[in-house]
Amino acid sequence: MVKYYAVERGCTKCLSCYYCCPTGAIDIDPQTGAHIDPEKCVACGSCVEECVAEAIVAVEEE
Amino acid sequence: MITLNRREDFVVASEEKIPIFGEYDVVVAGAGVAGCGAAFAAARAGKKVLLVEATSALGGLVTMGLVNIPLDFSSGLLKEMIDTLTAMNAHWHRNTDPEKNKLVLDRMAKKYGVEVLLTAPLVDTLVEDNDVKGIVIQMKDGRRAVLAKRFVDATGDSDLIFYAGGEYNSGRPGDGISQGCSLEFIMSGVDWDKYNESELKKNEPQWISTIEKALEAGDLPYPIDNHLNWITHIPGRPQHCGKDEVSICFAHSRNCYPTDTVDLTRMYIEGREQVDILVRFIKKYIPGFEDAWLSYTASLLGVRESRRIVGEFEMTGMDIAYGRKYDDVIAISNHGFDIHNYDGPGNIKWFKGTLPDGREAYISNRGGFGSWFPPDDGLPRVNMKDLIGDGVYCYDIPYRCMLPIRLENVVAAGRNLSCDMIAQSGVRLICLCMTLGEVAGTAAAMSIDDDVPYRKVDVARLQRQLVAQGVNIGQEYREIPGLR
Repeated sequence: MVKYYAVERGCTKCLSCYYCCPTGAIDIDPQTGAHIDPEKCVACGSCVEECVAEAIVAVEEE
Repeated sequence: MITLNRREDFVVASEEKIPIFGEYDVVVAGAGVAGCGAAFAAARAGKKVLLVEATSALGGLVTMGLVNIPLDFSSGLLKEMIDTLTAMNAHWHRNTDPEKNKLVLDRMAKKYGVEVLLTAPLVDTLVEDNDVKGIVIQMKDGRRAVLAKRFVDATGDSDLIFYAGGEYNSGRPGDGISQGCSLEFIMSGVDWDKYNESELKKNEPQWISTIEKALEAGDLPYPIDNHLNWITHIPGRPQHCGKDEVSICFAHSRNCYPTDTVDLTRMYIEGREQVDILVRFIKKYIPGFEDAWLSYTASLLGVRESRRIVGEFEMTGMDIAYGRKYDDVIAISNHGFDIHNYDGPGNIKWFKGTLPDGREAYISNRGGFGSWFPPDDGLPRVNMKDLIGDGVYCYDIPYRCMLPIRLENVVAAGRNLSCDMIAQSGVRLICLCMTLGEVAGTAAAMSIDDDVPYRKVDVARLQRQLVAQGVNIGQEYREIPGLR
């Protein structure tokens, strides 16, 4: 079961995920790129679909 | 055959009879996605449409240029194209399989009843009293005239408007150099999983220090770019098996004059040499690419900016920085500034604008300043995030930006909108171009039905028609006066 998603694998700051997130869980830092707030993430997977750099990974339930 | 009659630097051709190929309601010059959007929209509205294209396929930079569809609002005909490709497993992460994209566009043209002529470049226009009445195309056995009631200049380079003697700007003030042009390429046999899970991709997805190392070692003779511009995994082809295909934007020409065929030739030859160097660099330094190979360089150079029409309104960088709204909005975008350095490596995602309190400042995209920073001259550096309000960020494209001054019967659709160079960097992207094409085709049909020139089309009626066609003009984010 996916708990939430995290940007881990090389964000290129294209902002795709930022625009598609339905809960506004994603913020963009100009230096470090996109960050997903685990509290706001509902694990819908839209950002994974949109991420051109395939940088988003699932964080599973233990 | 022309009897040679030389007068110093000219050859004089005596009066020529050009056979008429046909007469249409709407002629669309250029079949990149903008031209396709225009032709499909006008034909769907019941008009007799001819779409002429210089290359051998529809889609322009998307299919022939191997450019990945970057990110922006997707609605109307663009969304139909993308949904069709998704169903064929030919689209993901805003990248499409260029071969399947060609097929989809061919089929959409047939579905909408558009007559297409490929390998038929535009070579002149027929004008009477500032009214564009026809075009001249080059066919295999000679030149042909095509007459029509309305025209769409979707050539990207504003060739139709240029030949008609229309006003335009090209390149930056002073030397007229356009922003960098890129020759895209595809590498195959990539172990994408190995690359995707590598420490390199995790820590520096744009390969910045790797490039520096290669420069020091002499594996790169000069910084073709100071960062990897863009890499996408081509959908629908083998994956997770070490045989993946990726599309890479990394080879760039600088000091470009893309409407000079001599310089275009320079850029193609230079681009292919750069790709040869880059492929060897990539195989040596990037994990997952050790056994990969170059399969193709693009057959169409990625020109980003060339002739922009002088229209009834000129968009500027401030429109993008502040997400400005206009009553005659016909399309929206959220892409932001995207300039490839004119005469050096790197990209520029900022411009010198004005803050609300009147001070000058360097204003950047939400994602930052890019890889080439503003000068250190004491002016404040501001992220656009601090200027735009809450809510969905987008900037409006006014209908007036498509209308060339003085010339009738023609509109510009695509990257050649009326705008300054800064704004152009934010309106040139593919998604918006296809939507602008849809707007142009819809306006062409409406101007014929209402028997008015383009510039007298009832914009509110146009906006209602676009919304009815499923185009997003921002109506969900704010009240648009014409839609009340």
